[in-house]
Amino acid sequence: MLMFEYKDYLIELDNFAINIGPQHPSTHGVLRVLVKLDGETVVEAEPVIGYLHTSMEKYAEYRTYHQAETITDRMDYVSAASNNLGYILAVEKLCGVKPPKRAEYIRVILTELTRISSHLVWLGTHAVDLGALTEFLYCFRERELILDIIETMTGARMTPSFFRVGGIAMDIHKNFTGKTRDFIKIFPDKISEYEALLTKNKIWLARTKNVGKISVEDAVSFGVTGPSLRASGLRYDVRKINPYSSYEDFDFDIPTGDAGDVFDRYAVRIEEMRQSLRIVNQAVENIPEGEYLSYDEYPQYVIPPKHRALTTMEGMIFLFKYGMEGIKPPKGEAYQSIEGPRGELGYYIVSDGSGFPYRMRVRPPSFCNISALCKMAKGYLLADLIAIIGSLDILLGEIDR
Amino acid sequence: MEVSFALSVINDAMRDLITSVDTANGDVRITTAKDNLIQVAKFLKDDPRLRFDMLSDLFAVDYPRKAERIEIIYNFYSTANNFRIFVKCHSNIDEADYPSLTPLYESANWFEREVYDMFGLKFKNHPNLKRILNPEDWEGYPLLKDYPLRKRPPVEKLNFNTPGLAEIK
Repeated sequence: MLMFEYKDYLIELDNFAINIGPQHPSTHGVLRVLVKLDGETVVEAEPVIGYLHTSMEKYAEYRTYHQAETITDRMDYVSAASNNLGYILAVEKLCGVKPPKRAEYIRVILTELTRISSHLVWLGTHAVDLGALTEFLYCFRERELILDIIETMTGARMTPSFFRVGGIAMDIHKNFTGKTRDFIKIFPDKISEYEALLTKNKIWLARTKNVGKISVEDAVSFGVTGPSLRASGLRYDVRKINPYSSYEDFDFDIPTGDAGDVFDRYAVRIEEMRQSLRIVNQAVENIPEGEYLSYDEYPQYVIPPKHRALTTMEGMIFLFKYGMEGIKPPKGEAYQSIEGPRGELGYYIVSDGSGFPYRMRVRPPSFCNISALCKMAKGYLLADLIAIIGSLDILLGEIDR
Repeated sequence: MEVSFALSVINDAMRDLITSVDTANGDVRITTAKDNLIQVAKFLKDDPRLRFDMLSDLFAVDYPRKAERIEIIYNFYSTANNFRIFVKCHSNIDEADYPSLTPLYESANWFEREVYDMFGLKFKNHPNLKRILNPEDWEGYPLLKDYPLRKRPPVEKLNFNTPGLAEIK
């Protein structure tokens, strides 16, 4: 008795397609890639996204302005403080609120620490994809220190939601600067340690050099931003060209590559960790004295500091109003973009004058970066596709929102 | 680049195509009709003084009370001049020939798919117009204002047959 037809096992070689993901460790989340192959060479790689879609833009329309902030850090949970900062800056632009200098410096410290921790997650997982397991353990060891610092300051490791319109939620914790200084002391050696494992490693070079190239013109046309664009040679960093949150006060360099391949994207991010550490150092040493919330200037938009709410009558009234109905920015629209660890993160907020955002649009950097995957992977081997996905540093929570 | 210079360049070349200019909150927004959108985008991209070479973002806002309820906002950025401009365009949901910017910008491909997915606006001549974030058999367009927040199809209507390799072209 014939159980199977033999033709079921014939594979059509001309149009050979495989499916990677969505549940696959090297796709960094739930990314699915449909790959068409010619032998072992990628002919077409089509990313399929949406497996983590939670409709956060819709949710934000039903939250007050400060409740919506807690949604933003669940999008990019690896670099939550950056997402908070972009959102809060957009709301501040809408309201015309300027935070005090002290709050801006603390925001910078937190976002730059988050950038380092995000790059550590990227470096560890990217190296694991290409077979270097030690790197992963090293990176997560130091990431834990950063999460500890962030926890000291904000009370949460991953999703702080610490920024407020017109400042930050609390003043500096007494252990914060000390812990940060300790970290600044040890971290440069650790970066050298990571580099010692990879940068001149023959296997690493063979896997990453001249792989996944993309030219500046293509990258710009695809909307690729962040380290992936800088690795192609364009010096585009929002912190430098459109400074926000006092970035103009700090002295730092923008590393760029020239080949636009996987190795350049690696090298750019490694150097960015050093530059972020420089910024953190300058910011920690120069934190200005003063208030951490600009409540006195804009009492209708800014939460009163805790001690004012507990000791003065109008402070308590405003705190109550703030909790019950939230802030009501004037009618209008505002766009603010910041340099997240993955690229340009933009928030476009439309207000209709009520206590809820009429529309909150997130411009997700990973979304644009992964859309260029087919362009980068075409003509390379299937194994290189994994290296390219890793080098883009995507985060599916942010792509799918 | 100065805002006034950019606006003067745009105004000189496209006085008839632009219906309004808004510079509130430090951003520059111009409004144009959908029939002129391709012409405006081509000018913004090719003019040597402007060179808006990146379509940084493309999204829509729903105003159900207006005659043309979908407002599509294009976020053009010029890497050479470090200048950003927003171009607004209005349309109905069932507009038959709303132009697609995919011939000009690669990033328009996914962004237009997202607008189609969330608002139901069909872009004419888009190479691959299908849902991007929601499942392909999803009903309704979630970011429209009349779509309720907690709408969810009953379990027996959900499709658990995952799409297989058949969808590869």
